[in-house]
Amino acid sequence: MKSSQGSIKRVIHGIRGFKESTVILIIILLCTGISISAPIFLSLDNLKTTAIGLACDGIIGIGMTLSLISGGFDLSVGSVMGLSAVLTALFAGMGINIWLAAFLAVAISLIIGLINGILIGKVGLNPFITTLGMMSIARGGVFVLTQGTSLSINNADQSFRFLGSGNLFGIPVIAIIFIVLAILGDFMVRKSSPAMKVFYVGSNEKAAILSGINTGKVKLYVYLFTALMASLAGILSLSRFGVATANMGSGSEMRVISAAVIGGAALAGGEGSVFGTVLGVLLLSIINNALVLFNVSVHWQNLIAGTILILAVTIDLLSHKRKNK
Amino acid sequence: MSKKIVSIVLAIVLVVSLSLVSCSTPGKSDQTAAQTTANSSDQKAGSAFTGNESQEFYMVTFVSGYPFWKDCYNGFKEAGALYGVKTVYGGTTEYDVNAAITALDQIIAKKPAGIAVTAMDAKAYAPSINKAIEQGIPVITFDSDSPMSKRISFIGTQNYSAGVTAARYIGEKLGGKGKVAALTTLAQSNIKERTDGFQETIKSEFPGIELVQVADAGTDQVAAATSAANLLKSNPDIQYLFCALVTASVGAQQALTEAGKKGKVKIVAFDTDTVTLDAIKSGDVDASISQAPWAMGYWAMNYLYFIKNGLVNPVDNWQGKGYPAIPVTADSGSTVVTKDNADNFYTPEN
Repeated sequence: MKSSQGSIKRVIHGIRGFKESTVILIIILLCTGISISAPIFLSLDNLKTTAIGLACDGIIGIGMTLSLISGGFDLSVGSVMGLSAVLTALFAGMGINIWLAAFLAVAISLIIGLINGILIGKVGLNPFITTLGMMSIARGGVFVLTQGTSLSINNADQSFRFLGSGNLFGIPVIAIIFIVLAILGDFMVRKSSPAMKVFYVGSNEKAAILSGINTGKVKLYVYLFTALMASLAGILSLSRFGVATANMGSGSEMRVISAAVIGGAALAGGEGSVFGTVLGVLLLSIINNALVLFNVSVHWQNLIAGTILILAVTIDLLSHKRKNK
Repeated sequence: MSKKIVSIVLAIVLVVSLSLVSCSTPGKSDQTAAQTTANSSDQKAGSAFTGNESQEFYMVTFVSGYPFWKDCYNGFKEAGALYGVKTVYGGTTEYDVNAAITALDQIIAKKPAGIAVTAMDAKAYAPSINKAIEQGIPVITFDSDSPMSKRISFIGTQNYSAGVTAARYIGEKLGGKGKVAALTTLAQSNIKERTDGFQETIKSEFPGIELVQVADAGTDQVAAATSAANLLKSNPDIQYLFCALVTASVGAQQALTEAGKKGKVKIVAFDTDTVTLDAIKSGDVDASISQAPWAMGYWAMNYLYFIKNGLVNPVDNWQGKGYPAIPVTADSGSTVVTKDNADNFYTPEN
C-alpha cells in the first residue's frame, strides 16, 4: 500500500499509526461538537470531574493493555481494585499506618496476579475462565471482609487523602498520577525489551517459544503487572472517596477492555499501546459526559455504549484486514 | 486508503448519531401540559408559584433502570409541572460508586437549580453533595441518605422500621412459631437496614420463630431465582420468605413455582410495582411492604422549589445562620399491602 500523499502524512502515519489517529480524530470531532452545543463542557468544573472520573479506569487500562498484547485479558481487575481498597481500609481500621496498609494491600493483590499468571502462563489455562473465576473469588473476598457495608478511613492519617482528592496547581492529583503512570507505561510498552517479548508472545506464541522466549514467565509478569495497576487504582479510589464500598470497581473490566480495543489493542493479541488505551478511555468518558450534558435519558446510555463498542471493534477488524494485505 | 475512509465515515456516523440521539430523545427535560393550566390558575395565587422555566431540577439515581426510581421521578416530575419548571432524570445505569459520583459531579458542574439525589454510599457522596451546597445548589436526599453531608433534608423510608413491620406481620401470622428465611442484596445500605430490622425483630420479639438463612439475591431476578431455589432446597420447611427488594421477590416467586411450592411458602415482598400487586391479588405473594416513592420525589421537588426560589424565609440568610426552617428528615412511610388494599396502590403509569 503506497502512501503518495506527501511526506508530512507519511510522518504522521509513522508516528501515530493508523488506529490511534482515527480515535484522535473522533475525539477532536466530538469535543468540538459538544463544546458548540453545550459550552459548559469546557468549564473547569466539568473537565476536572471528567478527568477524575476516568483516572482509575485509565490506570487499570495501562495494565490491561499489556495483557491484551500478550494474547489474553484480565477480567479480575475490577474485583482486585475493590479488594485492594477494602484491604487498605481494613488494615487501617485495625490501627496499621495507612501507607503501610496500602503497601500490604498491593502485596496481596500481587499474589492474586501471581496466581492468575501461574494458571495462565505455566499451567496453560484459558485466560477468560481463569480471570473470570478470580473476579468472583476476589469480589467474594470483598463481600466477606465488608459484610456488605462500606469501610471508612476516618481515623487514618488524612494526608493519604491528598492522592485521590487533592489538587496541585489546580489540577487534581489523581489525574496527575494517572498521566505520569500512563507516560511511563506507554514508554515501557513501546521501548523496553521485556515488553517486546510480550508482543512476540501475543502475535505468535508458537514462534515465540521456538525462538527461545519463556512464554510462561512472560505471561506471569504480565498478569502480575495488571494486578499491580488494578491495585493502585483501588488505593487511589479509596483515597478519593475516603471509604471502600463493596462494589467498588465492578464493571470496570468491560469498560477498560472496550477502551483498549477502541485504542487499537487486538483481542487476538500482538497489538496495542497504552496511548491508544488512554485515548479509548478518554473517548468513552467524553461520550458519557456528553450524555449527561445533553440530558439524554439514562435509559439510552447502555444502548449507546454498546453501539460504540461494536463500531470500535469493526474499525479494529477493518484495520486488521489492511495489515494482512 | 479506502479502509481509512470507511473508518472516518464510521467516526462521523458515530458523532452524528450521538447528536441525533441527544436531539430526539424525549427524556431531555419534562414540562407537561399541566403546566399551562397550573400557570393560569396560579395567576390569582401570585407569582411565587409561577416558576421560571429556565430552572432545571435534577433527580440523580444509580441503576437507573430500576422501576422504583421511575415512581420517584413521576412524583418529582409532577411537582415540577405544578410550578412550570424543568425536571430532568439523570444518573447512571451502573451499580458502581465511581460512575454514580462522576455522573453527579457532572450534573453539579451544570449548575442546576436543585438536586434530589439518592446516595448509594452515604460517605462517598458527601464531598460531592457538600460541593453543590457550597455552590448554592440546594440538595435533598431521598430514599438513601447521606446524613454526614450538608444536604438540607432527607425524605425516605425508615428502612429499619420497614423491616420491623415485615417481621411483625409475619410474626403475627405465624402465631409466634415457625421457620422463615430472608433474601437480601449486599452493598446497599438501605436494603441492609431493612434486613437488619427484620432480623433483629424476629430475634427479640418472636423467639419461637427461627430465621434459618439470609441469602444474597444478587442484582437481578435471575440470580434471585437461583438463590431462592437453593434456599428452598436446603430449608424446605420454611413458611415465610421475606424479600427485601423487588428483584428478590420476582425471582423468589419464580423459584417457588418451579419447586412446586407456590402457596406452601409465603412471600412478603417489598415495593408495589405492578407485578408485585398482581401477585398479591392472585395469591402468589402474601403481602408487600410499600414505600412511598412517588411521595419521595414529589416532596423533594417541592422542598427544592421553595428553597431555590427563596420562599422559605423565617429570618434573613436562614441557611447561613443554621436557623431551622425545614424538617431535617421526613419518614415517607411504609404500609403493609395485602389482598384487601392492593387495588389502591396501582398507579396509571405503572
